[in-house]
Amino acid sequence: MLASFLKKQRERFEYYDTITGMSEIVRRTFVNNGFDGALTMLGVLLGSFIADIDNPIIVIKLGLATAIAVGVSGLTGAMFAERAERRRQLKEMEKALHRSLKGTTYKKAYDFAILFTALVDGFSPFITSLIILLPFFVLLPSQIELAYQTSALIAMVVFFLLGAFLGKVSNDSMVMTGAKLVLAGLFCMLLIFLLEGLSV
Amino acid sequence: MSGIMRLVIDVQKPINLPSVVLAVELSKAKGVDAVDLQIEEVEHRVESAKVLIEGDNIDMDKIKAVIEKIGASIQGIDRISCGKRRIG
Repeated sequence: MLASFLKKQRERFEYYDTITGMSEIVRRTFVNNGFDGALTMLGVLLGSFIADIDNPIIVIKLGLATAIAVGVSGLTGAMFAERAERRRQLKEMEKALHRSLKGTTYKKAYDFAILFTALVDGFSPFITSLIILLPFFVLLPSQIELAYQTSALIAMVVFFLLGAFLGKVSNDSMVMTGAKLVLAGLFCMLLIFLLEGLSV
Repeated sequence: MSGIMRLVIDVQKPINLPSVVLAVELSKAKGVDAVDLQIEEVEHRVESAKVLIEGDNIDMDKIKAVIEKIGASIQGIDRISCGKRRIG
């Protein structure tokens, strides 16, 4: 029963994907926005660290606010941008076919693509940023130093995994593409610490 | 049987709409035994297909509904066969 339902849903997804080509866009935005979210959270945590914030509750509040902001930003941004683009494509197709596509499965595929892309765009930065914030939820307040260090380490792992995923998609070396994103993260860390050095 | 037994129609469909989906959906319609779809012309966004449908009592309204629901459109009816026996 469940297996046949899932099979039907998978077939429908594949059909919608054939029409809209959404999986390609979703793959790209998943990594792009996931990296955005992870890097933003790393920036917030490094900022908290150099500002000597030693209360994990404050860090959690800052982090959660950031995660929500990047999530909502991804969701709404993608929703509006994707809708505008898809509507333009639909209108062009209606013109070519000399008919309205309202109520057709073809239009349903486009509507699904808009929603799915927006959800992935919203959830990928939200999830990646929350993963990086996780140590502040599980470690004791006295272990705040360790929480900062663990978060930075988790951020590097997230960067590597996102990069490795890109490598897999492009059939390049997963280690190399993963390492490139880790380098980008390290570069960001360096810039933030340089800023700290300038302000002292 | 005295309904439509063979139908040849010109269908225009979006280029990214798989022909196989259109053919399979048509084959599921009531009274349809077989469907043969051949792409005749490919344009920038759309392509035209010649669709041969055979059956015992093909419901023209159903065929039209399936085609329109999927997002394609009938451009014209090229050939229609009906009666008590098949010709050719």
